[in-house]
Amino acid sequence: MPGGWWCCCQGCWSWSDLFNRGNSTDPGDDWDEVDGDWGIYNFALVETYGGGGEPLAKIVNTDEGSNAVPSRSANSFRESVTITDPTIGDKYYLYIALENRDSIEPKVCFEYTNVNEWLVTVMGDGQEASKTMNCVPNEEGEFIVEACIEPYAWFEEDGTNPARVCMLRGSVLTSTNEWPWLDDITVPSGKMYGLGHDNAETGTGTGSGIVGAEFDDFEVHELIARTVVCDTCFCRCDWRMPLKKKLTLTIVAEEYLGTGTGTPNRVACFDGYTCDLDAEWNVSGFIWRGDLTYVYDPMHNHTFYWRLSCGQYDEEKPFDHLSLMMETPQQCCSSMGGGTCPVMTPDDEASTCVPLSLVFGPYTTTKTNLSCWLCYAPLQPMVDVAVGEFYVVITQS
Amino acid sequence: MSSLPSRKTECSCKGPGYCSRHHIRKTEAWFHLCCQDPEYFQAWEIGRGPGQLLPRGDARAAKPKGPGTILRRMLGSCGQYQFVPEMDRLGTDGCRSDLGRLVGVVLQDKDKFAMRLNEDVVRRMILLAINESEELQVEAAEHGGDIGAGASAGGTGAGKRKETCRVCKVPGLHGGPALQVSGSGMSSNFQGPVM
Repeated sequence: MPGGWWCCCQGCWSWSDLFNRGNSTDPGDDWDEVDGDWGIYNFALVETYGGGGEPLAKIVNTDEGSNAVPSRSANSFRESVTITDPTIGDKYYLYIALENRDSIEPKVCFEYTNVNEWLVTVMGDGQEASKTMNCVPNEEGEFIVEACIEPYAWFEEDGTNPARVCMLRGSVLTSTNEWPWLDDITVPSGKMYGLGHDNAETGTGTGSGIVGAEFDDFEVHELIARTVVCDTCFCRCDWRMPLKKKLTLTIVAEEYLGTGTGTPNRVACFDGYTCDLDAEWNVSGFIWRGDLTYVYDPMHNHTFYWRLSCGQYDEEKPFDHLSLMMETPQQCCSSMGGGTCPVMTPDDEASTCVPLSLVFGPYTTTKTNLSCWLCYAPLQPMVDVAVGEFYVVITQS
Repeated sequence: MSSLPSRKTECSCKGPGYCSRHHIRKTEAWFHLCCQDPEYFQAWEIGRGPGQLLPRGDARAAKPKGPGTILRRMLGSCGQYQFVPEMDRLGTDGCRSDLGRLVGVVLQDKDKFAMRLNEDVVRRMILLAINESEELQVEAAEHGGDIGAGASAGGTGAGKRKETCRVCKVPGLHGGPALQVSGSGMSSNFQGPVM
């Protein structure tokens, strides 16, 4: 295995090729030249302008031996590579979860559109999504790009592998822009990976003068080894359930409080209100945002702003990495009629990851909180009610 | 959305609104999930779907811990494993009738536990968990449901009692400190107010 290493740390498989070997017209036994003429030059993987095919040059792993993704991780791995000294207009590709050497999707295209600016496009199952990502290269003029694919659910209830509905993303590392993301693509259970480009031979400047692309430091990691989380690409509820881009938030406010002995719930009319939560990713992590407005009358309404944040999943602390923040000017969530709404984590006994049902609450407000107009006329005494409480349930949409 | 072209589950709802089968009010989004997503439909069928479980002692009091939850505790862990929801969903009778397959499901996670597990040990532990779950169900029936369900007595809206995780020694299975938040006598997993 020239230049490569593999690791089986804690049962997690990964493999890399740093290309630190002598100049050669052969990229090594781990690689299969599908299109173009690949080789090693100056301790990097380079390709002369090949011509033909789509894209114009492509190399994939040989899918045998230590460089082969374990079958258990088909459609569930992350890969990254360094691109050296790109020229504006260059296009580079990361192929991921290919069914065979001739497959051309799923893939992520990294187009260098301007100085320190990339147009990243993820493509799979006839769908694609793009985002512009800005990034400053390191001192050696290098950019690290990555692609990641993950099944939406790891196991069905009967323990079998799921229908391979996948989530796919691409990103330029260290960029703080949102990455492009597809979360509902169906692809074959492929486990091959590869690199490609569509550049003219003068595109890069390695000194050889003949290369269209120069790659270095390729790595591939599986995400889950059986039930062990090895690597993370998306926010996950638990080890088998990454969260999709769009979620649904629903208010649950029962008619009566507590044991249902007849004490009316001050905010019972809020029951059934719902809104979408849309994901965005930035350098600080995943956040889903949404808002809903309760209208008492044309002059009085409340808008509730929701933000679901996702931290690092810890299997020993289920749900603790998820937190919900609610903001509303009238403080309908406060038992004291003022202050800021509390940040909540899901109730660990009422919440489930499969299917996704995150339960937050109760949010409470007092009878005397007259600035909260939920269900009652503003500043009107409420003689028949006590406190109000409602819960928030987040499901997939 | 209420006139869906086809249903992938046995959802019998005619549309959004109160569901007499699952005893909750379903929004349009939940009605859609009920009709189109077998996992959600099954969760509602066993009383663990969205809106059916609320973090209140009285709401969960009638639901003693299932055999999967008990087995997880017996194994000294508080992590999330495939067998936990599956055994809880099957219940005691279902676990008994599907014992052979469940042994295999539990053994998939055997490397994650401190104790050495083999087929015979797992089989016996599952049977112990089933027995304990059945005992809790009997006690719950005798004591008005206030057994093993994370609920404690304390008047209307009894507060939530959280057990201590054996591994992490943290009350509440990592749910965070309980903080009294209202005059209703209920508590929840507040991380505290923030500005």
